[in-house]
Amino acid sequence: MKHMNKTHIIDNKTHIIDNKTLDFSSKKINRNSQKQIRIVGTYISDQFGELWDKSLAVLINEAVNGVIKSVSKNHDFDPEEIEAVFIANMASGLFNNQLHLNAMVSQIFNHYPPAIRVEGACASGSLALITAQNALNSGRYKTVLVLGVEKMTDLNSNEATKVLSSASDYDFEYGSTFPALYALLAKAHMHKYGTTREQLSAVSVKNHRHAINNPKAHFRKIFTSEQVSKSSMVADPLRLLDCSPVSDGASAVILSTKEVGNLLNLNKKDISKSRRKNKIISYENKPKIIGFGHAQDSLSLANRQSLTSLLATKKAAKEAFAHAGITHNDVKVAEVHDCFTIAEILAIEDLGFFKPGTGGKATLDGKTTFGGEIIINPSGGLKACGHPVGATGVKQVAYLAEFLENQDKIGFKPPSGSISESKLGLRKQKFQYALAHNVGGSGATVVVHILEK
Amino acid sequence: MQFNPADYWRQNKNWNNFVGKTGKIVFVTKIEVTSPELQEYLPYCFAIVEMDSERYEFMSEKGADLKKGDKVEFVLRKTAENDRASLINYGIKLVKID
Repeated sequence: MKHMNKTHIIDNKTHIIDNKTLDFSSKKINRNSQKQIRIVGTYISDQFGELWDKSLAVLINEAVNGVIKSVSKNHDFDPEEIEAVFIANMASGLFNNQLHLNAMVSQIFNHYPPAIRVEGACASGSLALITAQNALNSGRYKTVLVLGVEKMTDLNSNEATKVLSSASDYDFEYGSTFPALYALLAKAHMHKYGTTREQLSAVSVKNHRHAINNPKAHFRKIFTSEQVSKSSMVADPLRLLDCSPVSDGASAVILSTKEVGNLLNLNKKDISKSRRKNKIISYENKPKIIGFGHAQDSLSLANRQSLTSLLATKKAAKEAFAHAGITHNDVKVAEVHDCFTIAEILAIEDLGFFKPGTGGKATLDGKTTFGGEIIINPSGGLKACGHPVGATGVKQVAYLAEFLENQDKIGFKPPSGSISESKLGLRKQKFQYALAHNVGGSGATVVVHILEK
Repeated sequence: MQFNPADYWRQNKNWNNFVGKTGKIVFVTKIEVTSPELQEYLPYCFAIVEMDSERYEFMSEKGADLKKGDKVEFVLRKTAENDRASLINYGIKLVKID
C-alpha cells in the first residue's frame, strides 16, 4: 500500500527531475581522476541453468579458481595479487539461507583479502563492478576481483517469484510480480507507440538464435515467433517465452590498474614464495573499461516520470558516454538487460541506438542482430543465456571483454538462421567498443559500462 | 506465510486514505503466475491507478477483468490465504465500478 505522506516528497522529486532531466552540466567528469582499468581475467560458469549438482559454495569456488586461471594460459596468476574482493548477490539469504558471502569468498584465498558484498537486485553485478572501480580509482587497491553469483533453482518457480518480487516496493506494490511490472511497461509502450506482439516475440526469437553459438547458455534452442506468441501467459501481454529464466550461475572478472601482473613459476613450487614471483604478464592488450554511468529512479512504477522509457538508463548512458568520450554511434555490440522482451526494446531506445518507439520494429527488421546496425545480446542475453541475478552484470562485462579480446583470433560466426557470413563480410568487422547495460528491479537502478579493446 | 503483526499494523494506518474512494485505471495487467500466498487469487489484475492526480499500484479481486480507463473503487479485502491458526491478512484491492 502506498504511504500517503510520501506524496509531498514525490512532488518535489518530480519537480527536480523536470528541471534537471539529463542535465549533467553540474556533474563534470574529471578524467584525470580516473585510472586506466583493465579487465585482466574473466570467468563465466561452464553452463548457466539448473545446476542441481552445484551448491552456492561450489559456484563461488569455481568462479574464483576459474578467473585466476584465465589471466595466463601458461602460468598460474599469483592469487596474492588480489588485494580485495567485491561480491555481487541479490538473495542468497532467501534462496540458500546463506549470508556473509564476503567472508565465504575471502576464505578461499590464503591471504584472506578484504571482501565486500554488494546488493542492488538484478543490478548487483554491475554495482559491485563500479564499487570496485571506485576503489581502484581511489588508489586504495590496484588489482581486485569482482564476482557475481546466484543459486536460484533450489526453490520452485512460485517461491522464486516471491523472492524476486522482494526487489519491488513491498509497501507500494503488494501483489505484483516482476513480469507484471514489466507487463505494465509493455502496455504503456504498446499504447503510445503501437509496439506489437510480433515485435516482442522478435526479441525472444533473436536472442535464442544468438544463444545457439554460446555453449554456456541456459537455453540453446531456436524458437519461432509463433511459439513465443502462443506460450503460456504469465502477465498480460508477457508470456513465458518473453521472460528470462531462473538460472544458477557465477561470473567473475579481475580488474587492475597495473601494467603487469605477477605469475607463479610452477616449476619452482618448492622454493620460497618471494622467489617464485619471477614471472610477469603484461596487461597491455587486455580490454579496458573506459566509461561507466550509474543512475537511480523511483522503486515503484507509479512514481515514474515515464512508463515508456527508463529514465535511469538514459542518465546512466549519458554519463557513461561522456566518461568514455564516445557516442552511441561508436558502439556496434552491446549486452543489454533483457529480463523481459519489452526490457530490451526499452533499453535499445533509451541507450540511443534507436529512436523512441522504434526499437520493436528495428528488432523485427533484423537491425539488432549479426549483419544489422548493432548486435544486441550476442550471448543470448538474459533471455536465453540465462539470468542468475547476482551474476548477470558481471557476466555481461566478462562476456564482452572476451568478445573484444578474442575477435581477431576466432572471428564471429552469425548464428544459424541469420544472414550468411560471406554476404555480410562479418569476419572483416572489427569491434573497438562494447556496451553493457544492467538494470535493477523495474528500472530503479541502472548501470552502463563501456569497454574498449 | 510468515506474517509480521507490527508491519501489518503500520499498513492498517493508511487504509482510511483509500477505502471507499474511487480512481481510474491507467495501465493494467492480468497476472497468471504469482507467489505461493497469492495462488488462491489467480487470475487477478495488477494496475497503476490514478486518484486525485496521484498514482498508486494495487491488485484487484480474484477474476477481475479491468481495462485501461475503467473506474474502480478501493475496497478492503483479504490479501493472502493463511492457515487457520494465523491472523487474517487484509489490504486494499480494486473493484470495478459499473
